[in-house]
Amino acid sequence: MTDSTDLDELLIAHAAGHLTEAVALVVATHLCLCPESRRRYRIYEALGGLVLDELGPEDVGAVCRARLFAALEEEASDPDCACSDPGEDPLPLPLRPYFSTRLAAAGWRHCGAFAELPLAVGREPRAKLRLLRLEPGASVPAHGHEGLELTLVLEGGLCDRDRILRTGDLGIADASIVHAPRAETDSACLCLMVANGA
Amino acid sequence: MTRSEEEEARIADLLAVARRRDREAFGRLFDYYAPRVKAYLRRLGADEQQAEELTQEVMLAVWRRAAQYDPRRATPGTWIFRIARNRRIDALRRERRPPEAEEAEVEAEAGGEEEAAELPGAALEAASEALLLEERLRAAIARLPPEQAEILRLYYLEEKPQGEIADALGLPLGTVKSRLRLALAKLRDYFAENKVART
Repeated sequence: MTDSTDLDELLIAHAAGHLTEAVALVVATHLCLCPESRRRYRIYEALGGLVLDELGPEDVGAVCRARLFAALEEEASDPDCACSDPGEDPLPLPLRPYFSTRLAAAGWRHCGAFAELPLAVGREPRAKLRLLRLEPGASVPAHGHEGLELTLVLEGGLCDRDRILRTGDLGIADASIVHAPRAETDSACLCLMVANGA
Repeated sequence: MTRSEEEEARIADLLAVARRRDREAFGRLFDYYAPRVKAYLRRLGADEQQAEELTQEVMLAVWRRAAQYDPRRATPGTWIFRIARNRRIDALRRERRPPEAEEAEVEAEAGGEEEAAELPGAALEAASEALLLEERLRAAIARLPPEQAEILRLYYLEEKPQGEIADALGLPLGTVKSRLRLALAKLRDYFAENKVART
């Protein structure tokens, strides 16, 4: 994997709620696919719980409490969460509300041996989120970045500089890096990328 | 009561809300968490009135979603922190938080489904894993140099964490960044040496 501390910085930022929606979507999807990152992320969410626990409490008005208790009368409990059927959808859960209905639809831009599906997410206009499909052996033209670029492999394998990223692996490239990621020769590669969104 | 007894009492209260819609138990949870949730929201930029409204919404979500609380996965503090954090992103930053697969769902999809513990005793026992994680985390933080522990804590309480921490502590941004990275590396090493049973 990338520098472990880069990944930890993303995980703690996600736990603390500091990432923009586009970047958060990539990190949440990575968490779905990577047990090791989930284990680390749990620590950072637990740290959030500790911070909350140790905060000096602020007075909450009696009116607020009374109003809430009055509201409870009318509240049934939520039906058990309306999870989508896990077997049906090929996409990891966090992506489903964003991409499901669009995967097969128009909007893919074909550029030779790769195709991309851009998606506007959240309020940060510079965050460019897209799905990218590379034919076997195809590469993305060499490029640099103004800021952070995250590449999450959803299917297949992606050779990025001296590493091979496989399903669930997250590549983290900062402004200092110029690269031309390439799909492995034996299979197509589907990945989720976000650039300049940190 | 010791800290862990208090924590166990809060777990029991949250489970009582889930199973019996126990209003007294909810009242105790409200009195403990609502003032902390409000303080959290105030720190992150909500004004007084907004913080009260959002706190009310967070606590209402606790009441509604209590059945989804799984004591194996999180302490009540961690679970309520998540709700408050997500509500803040929604309300103050006007962005959505992408849906997160709960650990249980991820495992169910991977084919290792388990039944949640049903008996109160069994539930508390199941909670020991989340409590153990918290205990280890406290121990890990206690071993950090105080200035690194401070930055970790502040990190959760500032909107643009690194810049604002730097301003608040009168430190160069680079110092804050490197202290955060050092703290993260130490936490990671500590947990690599002291594994929590289930991963």
